Amino acid sequence: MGTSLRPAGFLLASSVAVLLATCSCAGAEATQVASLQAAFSPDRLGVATTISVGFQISSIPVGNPMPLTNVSLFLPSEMGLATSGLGLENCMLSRLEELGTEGCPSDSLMGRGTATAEIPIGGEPVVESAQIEVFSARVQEGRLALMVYANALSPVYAQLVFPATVIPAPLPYGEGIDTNVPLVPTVPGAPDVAVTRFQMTLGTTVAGPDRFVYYRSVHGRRVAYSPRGLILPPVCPYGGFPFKAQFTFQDDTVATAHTSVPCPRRPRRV
Amino acid sequence: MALAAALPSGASAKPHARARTARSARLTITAHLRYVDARGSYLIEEGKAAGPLAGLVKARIRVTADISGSFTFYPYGGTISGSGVGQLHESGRYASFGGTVTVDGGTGRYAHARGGGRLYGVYDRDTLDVTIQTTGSLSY
Repeated sequence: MGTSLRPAGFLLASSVAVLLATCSCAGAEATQVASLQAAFSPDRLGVATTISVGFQISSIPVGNPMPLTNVSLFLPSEMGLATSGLGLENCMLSRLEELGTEGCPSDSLMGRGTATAEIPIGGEPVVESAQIEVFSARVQEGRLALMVYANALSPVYAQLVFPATVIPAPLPYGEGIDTNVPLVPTVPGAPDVAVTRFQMTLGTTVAGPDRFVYYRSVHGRRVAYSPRGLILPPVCPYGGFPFKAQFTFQDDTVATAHTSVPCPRRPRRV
Repeated sequence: MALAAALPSGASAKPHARARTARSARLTITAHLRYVDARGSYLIEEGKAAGPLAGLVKARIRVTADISGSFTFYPYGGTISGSGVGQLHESGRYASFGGTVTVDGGTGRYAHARGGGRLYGVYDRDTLDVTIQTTGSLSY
């Protein structure tokens, strides 16, 4: 199965990740190490953009991945999902579980991506890739809510829903997406599934597998359009737009990774 | 509009002492605001308020995990300024929210404006237009 992050056309303004994670995880006191990437497309101040974010988790020594139980992704200050025009309808959990993504309104889709997990089968880690779709959900305790739907086909056939809420975050971040990751058991006596890579876009892309459209009624006709996306602030903060991700593992250890998207270059004047 | 009191301020007959009548009112004001611009998660909105005090309203609303904002209201004779905070009740295309509003100043005949109350609102997540209704007390 594919194990690489899907680039999704996000070569613009891609950023380099930094990480740090210290946790004595898994059997042999393994340390979980996390890295984070982020990019904007288009990468212009003051306009709507699509965010691509991804993370990678590895263990030291290699081969001791610890299952994730929570991921909190913090977005730069002054970037809000609520003003993005994404998630104009909500998907109901019961319909998503029953019918899959077909059960969700098209205007509830907020982003797409891929996830890669390691599944210990027969003593050897087997890599599995899943398609990810992010949907808007009903408000939870006053917070915007999302559902992350993972559709894995092989070698294990599984559809999972990860509930997420939008939470406040201290500066230099504006808000965070807090996602609970359910433990996925494997064979008896073996460790649970461990997510090792994740990539998603928030918003639609111009082309490619992550592109999607919404529909609105214009003079009685159903017309497709691209949802706006998150609006970049008109001013770039010193050092770029900061992102942070905090990972909590099955043994309650925590890892944190940071990255930033560099400030866009000003167009040259002729 | 319930004008609860009109209290003389003890104005004397002194030629340079201007009489000022303190007023206190319980008001319900509804404002329909249209999207003007966005600065990241800040919405710049402008529109008209209807009710016992009517006039232009300019607001700067921050919509993130919570909703907060500040406003300047331009009724006849001055301005009233304040802020509000709220929480989402429901999302979808129309996101409703509720919270509190505080009036902390003004100009002209509302220079001493103070007050507060509840606010309820709905914003259109597609057009980013906002409708807000406030109910509370205002003294000025």
